[in-house]
Amino acid sequence: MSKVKSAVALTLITILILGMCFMCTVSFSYGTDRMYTFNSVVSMLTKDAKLGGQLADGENYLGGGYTAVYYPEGVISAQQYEDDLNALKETAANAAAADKAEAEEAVGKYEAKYIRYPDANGPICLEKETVCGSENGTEVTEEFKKNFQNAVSQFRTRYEGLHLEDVKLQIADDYTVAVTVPAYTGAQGVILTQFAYTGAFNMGYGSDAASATKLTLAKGETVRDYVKGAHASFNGSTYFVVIDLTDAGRQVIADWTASAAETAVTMYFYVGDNALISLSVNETIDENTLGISGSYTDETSKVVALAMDTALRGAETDLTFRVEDVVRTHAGFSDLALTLIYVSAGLLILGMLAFFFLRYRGLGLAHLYTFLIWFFLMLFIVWGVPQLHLGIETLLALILGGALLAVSDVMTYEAARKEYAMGRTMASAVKAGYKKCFWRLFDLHIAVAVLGVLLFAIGLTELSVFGLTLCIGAVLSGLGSLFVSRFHWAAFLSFVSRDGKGKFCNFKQEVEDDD
Amino acid sequence: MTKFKGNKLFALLLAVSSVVIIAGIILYAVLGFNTANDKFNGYRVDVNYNVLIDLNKQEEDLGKVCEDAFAQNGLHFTEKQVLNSVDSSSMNETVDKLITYTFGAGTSEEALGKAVAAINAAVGSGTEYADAEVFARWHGLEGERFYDPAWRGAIAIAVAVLVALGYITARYGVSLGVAGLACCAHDALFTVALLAIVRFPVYTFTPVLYASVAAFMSVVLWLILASKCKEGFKAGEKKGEEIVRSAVKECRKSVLFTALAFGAGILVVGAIAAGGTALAVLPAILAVAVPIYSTLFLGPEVAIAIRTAIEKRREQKKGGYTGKKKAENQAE
Repeated sequence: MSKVKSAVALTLITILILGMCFMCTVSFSYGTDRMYTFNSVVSMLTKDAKLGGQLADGENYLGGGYTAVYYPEGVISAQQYEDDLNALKETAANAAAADKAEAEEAVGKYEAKYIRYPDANGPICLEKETVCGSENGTEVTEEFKKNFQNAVSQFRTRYEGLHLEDVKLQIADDYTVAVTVPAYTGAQGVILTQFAYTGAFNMGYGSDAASATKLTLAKGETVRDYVKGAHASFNGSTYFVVIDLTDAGRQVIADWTASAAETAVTMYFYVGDNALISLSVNETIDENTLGISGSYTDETSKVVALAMDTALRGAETDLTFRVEDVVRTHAGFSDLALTLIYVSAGLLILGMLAFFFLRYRGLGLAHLYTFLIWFFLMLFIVWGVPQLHLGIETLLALILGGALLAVSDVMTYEAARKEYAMGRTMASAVKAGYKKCFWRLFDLHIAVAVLGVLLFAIGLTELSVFGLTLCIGAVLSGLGSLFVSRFHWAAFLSFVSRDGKGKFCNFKQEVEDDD
Repeated sequence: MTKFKGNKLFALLLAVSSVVIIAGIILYAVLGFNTANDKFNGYRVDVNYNVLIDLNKQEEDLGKVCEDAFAQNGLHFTEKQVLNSVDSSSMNETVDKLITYTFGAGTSEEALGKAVAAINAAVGSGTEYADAEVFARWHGLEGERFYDPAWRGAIAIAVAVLVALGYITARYGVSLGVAGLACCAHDALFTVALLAIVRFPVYTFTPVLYASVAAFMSVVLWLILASKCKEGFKAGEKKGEEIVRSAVKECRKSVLFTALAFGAGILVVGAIAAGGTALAVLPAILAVAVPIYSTLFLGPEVAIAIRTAIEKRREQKKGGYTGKKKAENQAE
């Protein structure tokens, strides 16, 4: 490669690397009163619930999650109880003399209505009649316990079925359910509210959800005689909730929509008393599969389908739940975690470069350029690919991918060093070194990429993210070490005199003395 | 003598690995992993307050009130966070806040109740916090575990390893492919078995991740050895056993250097990163170390055994071939 060509190529590559570095790491505000903000790729990376960070605007926080508590009917928080009681006491205190007795009676009644659980300082209050079976009850009834357990089982199926990492389900205070969802889903509101709906699945039609004519079941029939199940599906960028009907269900829907061509019919699909879907129909539907699209995203379609499917198949429960105490949680591994990860990544890169520059001197530049291109490309990919986000698994995959690139470069450099030592010219040694290593590195990267892509395709949550990051990292590492690094090597060597090439790469020839 | 030594070493290594893996499986079946890091089970104290609190001073003082109450009741929290409440219908953050304190699973409920009562008495009506409507509650939490990611992960690793090693078998031959598969399966199982035995605290999601890191390392290290063996097999000058043993000798440095490069990355991040990250990343060092053992000791013995059997069969085939002679006799 001529000097001029090399200079042009290296200048362009340097500009590219600097540009990528700037976009990846620098955030700043600009414009009048700094009203616009440029956020770096690193700050905009989607973070999981374990990691999190503030955007440069100082307002938006990426990462962390949301927690909420599901209170069954008949159970309220101790704070709610105290607030209500204080309000009643205040009313009694301010009441006119004529109303005082009534107001004080209300206070007494309210106090008698609830029992603090598990003791006088407990975090929840149980409504005696609903939870303990009678006004004077003190023990939770077996029926309530069974209903609560069935509801927990349904919540468990739903949250597990989401296949999202950092989703947590905990029984709190024996009779409430605490749930945590990661913020990166973007559908946390839908998840927390729609998954709280309990009760049987049903469908109906009419002018509004409350007064709609619901499916009437004959003796011995269940809704499953009409509906097989529900699942999410998509076509391009349109997401659907698909309801699979039995022949009987198909007939019912066909009857309901028979006159839809003349007068539009609205159909409702319920979980308990909550209508999850309302569908306006303008023509007769006579299909076994009902694909309902709307403003669904990938995640919301899954949530609605899961809520309906689990209501259809899950254990029955009569309890209804309220969503309360919703809290925004920050990084589970502390807000400092991300900064320290960046620091450690920086140190790791410095250590790696120190090794390359000490062992290969100028040749370290070829690896530096290749590695930086790989690294920034990986950051762009983690930012741009919807399935990826920053978490421990991504971090591990990036470490392994980066190390794979470094090891591959060492293998080729060492192979070339051996060839050079045997008396070849630098160009010939590089060629022979790469020739020797090509298939070895090709196999290595292909095997790792295959491993990664299958982990992504079959694995769930963290393993899936790890697999995809590893696969992309391996492919880029393979291209980097076999082609990009070789190009950089040739470009840098073109600036070195013929005699200085060995010194530039810290390669030595074993000169055999004929004498 | 060499063969005897090799067989004896192989038997010993196999025994060690089998004992560790079987013990790990039993312990996992009985106790599972030590997932204390998840903090699934335990207690929490939430102290809610509204925007009327003077954020500059009272928020800090409120923390002190709580922490004094905990100290007086002999309670030690493991984590403290100041969080924002969220409106459950709009999912927007509100101005109300709460301080949460996390406690371990062995905490006394009675002591928590007393501490919470002391906090509520200290911040109730008539105090400087009255307008901020401060209210403290304690919660007992019991986690529900999800098993889908673990079993799907196990299947994913098994399939991925089979396919990746299928490729290696196609490229490097049956003996190296099957030995590589044995190494991969061994490393993934050995790593998680060790975690189950030593009871090192892990997060629920990490064992399957470590198993896949072990499988990855196993593929990388095995390919370094396999490519060297392949060169020897191609030359065809030596017996399989000799080739594999000399390849192990020649590759020892490369294998160790490669493992060191991967291990250094994990060690640096694990050493510098904050508590949670370190706890999640550091055990992956096991997944890097175990494949060194299988690549340098266990795998070669498996490869030698298979290669020797293949060579024997080939020789038998060669010796038993009488087709040409028969044909010549018949012609005569």
